[in-house]
Amino acid sequence: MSAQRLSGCAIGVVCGMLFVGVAPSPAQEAALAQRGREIALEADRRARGFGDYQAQMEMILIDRRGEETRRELELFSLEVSPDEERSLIYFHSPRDVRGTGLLTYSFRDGDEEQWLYLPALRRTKRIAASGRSSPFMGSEFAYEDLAPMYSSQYAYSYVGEEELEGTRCFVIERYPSYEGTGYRRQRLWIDTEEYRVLQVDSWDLRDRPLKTLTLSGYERYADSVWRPAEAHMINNRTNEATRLRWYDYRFQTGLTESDFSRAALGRVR
Amino acid sequence: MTSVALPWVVSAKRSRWLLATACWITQVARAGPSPLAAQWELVGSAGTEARVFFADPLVEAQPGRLSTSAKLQPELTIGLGDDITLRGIALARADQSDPQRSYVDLREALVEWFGGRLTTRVGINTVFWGVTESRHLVNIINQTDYLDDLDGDEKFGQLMALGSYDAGAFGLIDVFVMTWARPQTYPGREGRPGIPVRVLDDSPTYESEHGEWNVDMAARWSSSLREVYGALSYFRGTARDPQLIPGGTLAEPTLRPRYDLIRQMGLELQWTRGAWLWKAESIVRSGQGPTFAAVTGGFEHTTFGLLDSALDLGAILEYSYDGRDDLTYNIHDNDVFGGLRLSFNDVQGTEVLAGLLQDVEDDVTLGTLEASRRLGLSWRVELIGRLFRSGDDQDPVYWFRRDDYLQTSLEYHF
Repeated sequence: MSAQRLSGCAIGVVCGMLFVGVAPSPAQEAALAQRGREIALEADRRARGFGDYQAQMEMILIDRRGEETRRELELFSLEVSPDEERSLIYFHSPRDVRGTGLLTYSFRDGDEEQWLYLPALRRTKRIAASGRSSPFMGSEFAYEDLAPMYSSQYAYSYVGEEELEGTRCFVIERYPSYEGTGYRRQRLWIDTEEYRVLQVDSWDLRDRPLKTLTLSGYERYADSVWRPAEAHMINNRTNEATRLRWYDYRFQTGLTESDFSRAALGRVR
Repeated sequence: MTSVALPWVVSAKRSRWLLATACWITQVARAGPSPLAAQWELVGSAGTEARVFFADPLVEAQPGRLSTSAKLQPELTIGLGDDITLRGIALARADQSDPQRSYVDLREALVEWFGGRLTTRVGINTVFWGVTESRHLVNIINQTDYLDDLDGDEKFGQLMALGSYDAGAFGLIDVFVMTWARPQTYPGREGRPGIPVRVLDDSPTYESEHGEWNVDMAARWSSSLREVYGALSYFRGTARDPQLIPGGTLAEPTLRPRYDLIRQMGLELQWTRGAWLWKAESIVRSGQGPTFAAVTGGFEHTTFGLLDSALDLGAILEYSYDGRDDLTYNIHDNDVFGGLRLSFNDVQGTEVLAGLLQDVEDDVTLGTLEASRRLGLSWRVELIGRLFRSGDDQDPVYWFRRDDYLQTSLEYHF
């Protein structure tokens, strides 16, 4: 096992050197793209198949002086079909936006439908989902950071294998091609055994380092899917950070499409 | 539950008392939910506002350049099991100068029963219909509370039984049976902005022999398919916006609201394409003079991440036409609205909306500015500005020509 790992590591290093040092031929490039996409697809496949789940989420915004602001959210998610996933996010705090709901229909082709419920007006608004690089609730997470793992709107490339804090990882890069992205490329560290995303580095449109996301505390739920307990996003430019903590995960609670309709957004909670 | 005018005027001392009460309620709310009772939650907001007017008032009875007001809005939710919820929202407002603006109202008091595809709500409720920003043409279920805010977004609760059926891909179907139509309220002559003519809103007339207790019906079908959203609605019953019938004497003219029985068809459409939202609303109404049609339509375009920052800038352009003959109380007869919406996407949730409504034919302009920002975790400070320009003494905006104001408000959410 360890010998295998060692050889894998060696191959990874060689691949990495190849990638950095020598411009790959078109055939090599296509092979790397294919390999990268396969890994992303596999990671995506393993993250799905949960049916439905709900969880509590705590968001901690940390400014550059280290001062923290906390907010509470509640998440619901449902796999409607292999091609469509629906999610509902409720804000419990800050209190002036309490009861605000964000309903998202994500499609495999990368399209999104987004509805915002404003409790003060009892109004449900269809909003433009193209603000992918806009911050989510004033945090370091952009809307595109919360999107599903695989989409046909990314191009991929395989970089190699690397040890990340003692865990063997595939390293791949992806290049968003959708409108409104804030990233030129993202590098992902995905562990080779369970295909869990452990780290994501993002570069801005001018290819300058922008953010580092680390995911930790993975646990297995419903006998199949792994979910992190914590995500930590650091903005390398502003030195501000956001920590997301998930708890009280519950899988297969019997949520249906009716729980993710526009009508459900306005339901008393 | 109708608006009750409070016979007292709020002083700065009293508004402090209001805040103290709010703080006390917060402490009580923190104690719950109790394991013994059903799951409950008491939340809400308390706040004060100050309006500064740019000119002296038209009428001496109106307040001078400064007017203050305080407001408390508690909200109680009780959950009985997973499927049944009770909710009550009350509003208490006290205004320094206008007794009409000092009132207590029950915004919501309803039971909601969730049964999968069918959700039933019975009681006093508020619903919103519509897609456009500058005018809410099809939104007819609730009476508008212009006393609370002139923007028309604040609503009185409406007594109803509402069945909402989720037909999946076909869309949502809502059926309403309503009674106890709430009358429109108007600022008193001591109010500012105020109407110089006395409106007899306590003794309106109704076309229905049952008066405000006429049984009103409505139905709505709404559906969305990827980029397109649409809704069709039908309303039959007591008009929410009355005709104002002139009367009284020459020395003291009055206006008496008259609520006709109307039928209204409504249409809403929205096309969402990338950063563009194309929107349109239209109604055809009969029973209030000759049958007429009205339409509002336009777009909202958002530039995300303006100049490499976190700022989102929205540009709104909408046109309104209203075919009503009697335009006295209808300011959207032939108007263009242009607005800018700035979302800072910061920790404090700072937002700014500024807009101008300009009549295409007449010399009438309405300006609006709304900016707000969170302070700490529980406070929100808001700045509102309103501008009234009218060179036409037949236009209702002419009444407000000296009432341009800036308002700051501070709200505590508990």
